Amino acid sequence: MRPVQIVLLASVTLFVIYPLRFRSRGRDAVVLLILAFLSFTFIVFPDATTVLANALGVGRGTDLLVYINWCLVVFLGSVFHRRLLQQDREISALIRENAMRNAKDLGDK
Amino acid sequence: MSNLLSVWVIVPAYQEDALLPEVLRDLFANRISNVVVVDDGSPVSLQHCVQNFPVHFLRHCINQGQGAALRTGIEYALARGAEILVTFDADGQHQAGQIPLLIAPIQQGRCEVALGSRFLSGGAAINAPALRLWLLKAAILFTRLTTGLSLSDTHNGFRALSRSAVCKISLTQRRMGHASQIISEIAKHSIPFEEVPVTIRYTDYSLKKGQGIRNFVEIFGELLDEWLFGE
Repeated sequence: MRPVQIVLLASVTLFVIYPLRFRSRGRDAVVLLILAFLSFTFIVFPDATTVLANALGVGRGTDLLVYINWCLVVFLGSVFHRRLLQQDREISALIRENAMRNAKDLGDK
Repeated sequence: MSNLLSVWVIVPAYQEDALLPEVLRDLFANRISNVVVVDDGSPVSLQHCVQNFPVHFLRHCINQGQGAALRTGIEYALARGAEILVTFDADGQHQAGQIPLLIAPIQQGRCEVALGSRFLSGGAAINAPALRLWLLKAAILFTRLTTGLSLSDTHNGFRALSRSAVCKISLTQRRMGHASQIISEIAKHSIPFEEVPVTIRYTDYSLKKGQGIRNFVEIFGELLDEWLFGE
């Protein structure tokens, strides 16, 4: 197994587990800062992607960026899905409360 | 004679204009006093077809699913002192005359949940298509593997629960996965239960509304979703 495969497997695993178990606004901010730092680094030092890619056993820097972006897609998908589920539950609770508040006892005439 | 005064029957309904009045007639003819109809966001409110019946009528403004409708009805009934709650389909598949038989084990203190079973001796699945029966058998095997409970019928909407059982069960599945979730909650909390033979009568109408292969795949997906992303 190449080093990049180990790193990517670990990253995907982490990005799936993170929204399930460790997510908080503070940690989201840290993740964003790390991603921003990496983005700035790769923009300012574009050859760094090639150096890093070679170290991980990937041919080109652009290929490495594709793999990193794929991990980000998994991460964002996981985060948004969980957030949508939470919103669904909240909406459901509101609809239930509304239904109960407007209940009609048709036997009480 | 069975005491039905503290029994509340919850009828979740979605676009059941055709059969709901008949279902309610069946319930009241069998001396059920407390019926909660939860209209799960039907495009046209079902109030017009329950207007002449002494029911408690609630309406979801947006369709949420049968599980959510059951939960609404259950919470409403609990707030009004229900001691035994019966879930009853609005498509005419269940027989109100079997409610006393269903609740008997709970009233006699033998269990807290009575699960209707069409596959026990004395039960029946009238006009059930072969494919539906095979899917139900697969669901039984799935339940056995995931909960350890050996049940003869796991996707039967005809069930009775005591107040104490309902308070232990967390019903978060909003759509069709609720049936499996109720079973897994029974296993999780070691709630004493019994299976009771009941008759499920299939019609062309109820088969169109019932669960096919696609629904079972969706249910599996809902349960997986809950396991991964649940609270």
